[in-house]
Amino acid sequence: MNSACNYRTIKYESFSALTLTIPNSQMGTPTNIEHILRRYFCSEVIRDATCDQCKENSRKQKGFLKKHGIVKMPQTLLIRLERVGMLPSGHLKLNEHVSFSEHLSVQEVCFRRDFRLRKEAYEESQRKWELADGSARVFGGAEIVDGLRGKVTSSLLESSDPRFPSISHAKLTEGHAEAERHTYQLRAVCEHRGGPFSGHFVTYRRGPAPNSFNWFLTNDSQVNQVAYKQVGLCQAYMLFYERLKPNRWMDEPLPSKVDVIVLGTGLPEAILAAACARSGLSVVHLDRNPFYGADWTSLNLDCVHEWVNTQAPIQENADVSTFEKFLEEGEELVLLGDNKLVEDVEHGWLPACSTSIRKEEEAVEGEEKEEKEEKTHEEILKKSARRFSIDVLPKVLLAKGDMVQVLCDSQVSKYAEFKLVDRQLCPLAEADGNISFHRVPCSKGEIFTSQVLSTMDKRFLMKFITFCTQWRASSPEDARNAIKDFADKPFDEFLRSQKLPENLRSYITSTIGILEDQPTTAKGLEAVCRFMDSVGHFGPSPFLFPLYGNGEMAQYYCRLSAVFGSLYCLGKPIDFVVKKENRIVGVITNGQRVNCDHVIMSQTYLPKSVPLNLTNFQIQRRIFITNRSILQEDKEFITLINASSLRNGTTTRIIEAGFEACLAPKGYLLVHVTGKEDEKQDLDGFIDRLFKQKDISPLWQMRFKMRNSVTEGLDLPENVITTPSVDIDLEFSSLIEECRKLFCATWPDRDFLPRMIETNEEEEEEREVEKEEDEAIES
Amino acid sequence: MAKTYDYLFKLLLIGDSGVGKTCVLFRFSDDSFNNSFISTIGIDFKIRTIELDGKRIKLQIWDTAGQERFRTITTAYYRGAMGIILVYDITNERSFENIKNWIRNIEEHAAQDVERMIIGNKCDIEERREVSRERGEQLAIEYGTKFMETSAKANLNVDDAFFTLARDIKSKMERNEMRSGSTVATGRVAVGSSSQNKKSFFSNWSCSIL
Repeated sequence: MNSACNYRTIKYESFSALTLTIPNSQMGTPTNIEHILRRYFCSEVIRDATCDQCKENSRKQKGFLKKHGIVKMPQTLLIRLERVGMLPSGHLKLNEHVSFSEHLSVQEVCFRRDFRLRKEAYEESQRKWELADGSARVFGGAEIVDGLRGKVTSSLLESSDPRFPSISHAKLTEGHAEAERHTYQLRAVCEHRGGPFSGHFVTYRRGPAPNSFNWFLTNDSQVNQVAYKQVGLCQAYMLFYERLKPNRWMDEPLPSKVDVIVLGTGLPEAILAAACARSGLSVVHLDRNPFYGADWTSLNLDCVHEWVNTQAPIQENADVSTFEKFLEEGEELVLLGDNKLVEDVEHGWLPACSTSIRKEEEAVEGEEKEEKEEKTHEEILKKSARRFSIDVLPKVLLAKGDMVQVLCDSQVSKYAEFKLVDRQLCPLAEADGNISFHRVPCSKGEIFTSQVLSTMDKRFLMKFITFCTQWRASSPEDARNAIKDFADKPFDEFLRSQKLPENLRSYITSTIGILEDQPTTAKGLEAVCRFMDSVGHFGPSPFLFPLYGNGEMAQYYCRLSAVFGSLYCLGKPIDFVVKKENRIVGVITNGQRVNCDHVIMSQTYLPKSVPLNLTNFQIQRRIFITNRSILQEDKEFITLINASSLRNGTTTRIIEAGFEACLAPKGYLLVHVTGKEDEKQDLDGFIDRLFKQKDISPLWQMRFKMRNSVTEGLDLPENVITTPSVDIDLEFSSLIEECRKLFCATWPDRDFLPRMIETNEEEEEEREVEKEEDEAIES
Repeated sequence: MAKTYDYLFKLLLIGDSGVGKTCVLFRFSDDSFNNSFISTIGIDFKIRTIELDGKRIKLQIWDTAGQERFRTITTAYYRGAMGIILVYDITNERSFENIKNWIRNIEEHAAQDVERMIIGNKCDIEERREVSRERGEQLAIEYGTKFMETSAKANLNVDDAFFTLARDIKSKMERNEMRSGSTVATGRVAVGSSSQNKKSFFSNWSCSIL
């Protein structure tokens, strides 16, 4: 830049590593990396040079100012310190200690993307440049205060120990957001030990977690954990800095005090967060995962891998000493665990995925050219990977169940869309060893037209359903009398006593009795009633499936919670809670302490000192992508299959759905198999048999098991509420009930997601109009 | 079923916190303005029915519910959105820079064919302007979207912005309908309190013929 004519040329260069020279030692004064960096980027005055424009105008020259700085900040900043010096006698290893901080700001050596020069700032920079004589200040470039050897001051870098300058996280979030954008975090240091010609390299590395406080020394084949102090003292040769995440986003601080902190964004936590926010409590809702839903989420094909990684246990203990500054008198830090309930995850493409198919229609929009090209399934699926929504745990909603009731009352329903589970199939073993599928009739009309049932069966069935209705309508006493001794005996025994033929018995238990697994008579009848009650509520089927998968459910409640003021912060480390007198008084997350009256946590976050209360019960999951339905018809269905009609007592069930439920791109289906761990063999056998018989070759599969743990008997501080872990129930009634109980036990004077008062008059009016019209049509 | 509208469009407002999304929303739906900065609480969406070329279009405009503050907008928020208005504040350089990040976010979560529009809000505060109109236009060209500078406070261009977006969506929809017939998804069940009046299996059970 030339000051006389304001002529500028800009030249961009890319760099892979910055090689910095260590300045001549100033005896005893430690040099730091910031200083060297600034020195490297400082402006230079080039005298006696001619600017092109001045040459043209044949004006007299004053000189040039050369500015040098970073325009685009790299994700990883590599710094190499030149440690080999030259002396007349030969090479020399420079052994000066260069101190480096855990966080490095490059703000002052960056060019601003635009020079929105406020006038005075610009003028000031011009004035300084006029003064430039060995010292210069350039706006947007590096600043040197007292000449090249001057002391570097930085408001940002304050540390009690000048040898280890560091910026605390807390400070960053408190108001240095602009600085954070330019801040790098030290990830690794490479040290050279020895002379200029020979020696040994060792590496210090930060632990794998994004903000891990653990350091490891790798020395040949040995890896040891070391304190950061040792890292800070090493004779660094190369420094690896990574840009702090989130990359370009600014973080606001969380409030310092709220009523409730919720840890984990699984469905039960989301429901409770919504209930709290709805009743007027202030809520901060946190999750270590960068996505919503925890074990209740839905994944697309792209993020399956990422999800699998989050399920791997992290063997790392955060360094307590870093957090002690957050404590006050009488408080102690409690380390939180990172319990994983999902285990043994395997996933991958299956051989059939490489079959080529001719994709004639339905090519991705706007790419009609490719019509005739042959593509493998894998290619197609990878391209539309984001259109998948793979439930970790698929469930359905009972049309008249508690979940739907709560959704409606809380008006979470306005975020949600559902489709009917429009095909319920009952598999039956045929004499030839094959499995045949029969549609389960739900409504009266369907029962009459069903071809599976004989006329006799139909009569029996209707009679039985009538009995159920009456049983339910009768007084508790009469109800008890009607089933007398059978109440606590297996349902099947009762059905037998009713002289129902065998095929009908198995039919009843596996279809209209699907809501209870191996029930007693009382529960079985109850289940049949609940099933039949929901029939016809929204359509012929009693079940609804949430569009885009079950993972949406947690998000719906989170949205409601946010609408009522909850703050959401995901993907941040949550290591400690602060305990005082058997109460949790605060949570430390992302370098900030948030105080609270209550903590709601999923069992993932249980303190390390509190082991999970695992049950023997485990869920086995199999998920397949197929391109043909188990029972192909001309229309795509959302299908529910209960395998218990094949073998009494098994809980294995299949939910098959695809494009219609917004779970997969057109032409593909997800087959969700859910069963118990102790039926693993059966489950795999059944599925193999099924695919073989129907000549279906799955294209992709994922399998894992989910452990189950209970919240009873955990030794926890009194203001901690732990939420239930995933269960195998087909629908959500028991989960909602449990959440309601948890909420009411802690806040007995508050309503659990009470009915919302219609606030939007316009909506109301419209609804009224619609209703009237409906009625008019009906009559 | 007769409706009080011909089309229903779901629109989203997206942008950094404090750029005035909620103000824009209130200006458009209620023609009101509140100067004080309160982070959005209790605002889910607002509705206004407009008329375009003789068609009644019900615009359902969703607010972020404050979830933009930590970039934790639920993916469910983007579902079914037909138009997205990206809002930045012309007096805040950072909110402008973040538009790119929000666009990336949209590309990841929203439908591919969603209509987008960029608006620079608070254009009444000229003296504190940090982002020139040209830069706004440039960015819009880069992403192939429409661009407008608005002021919710001075009621500048707010209606215009929504009408423009609605018109774009409408014409796109009509094009699509002409090409491939009706594309309206069928069989979806809205679980609202008003729909709970259907007949259950048990109703009229007494007249069983068995």
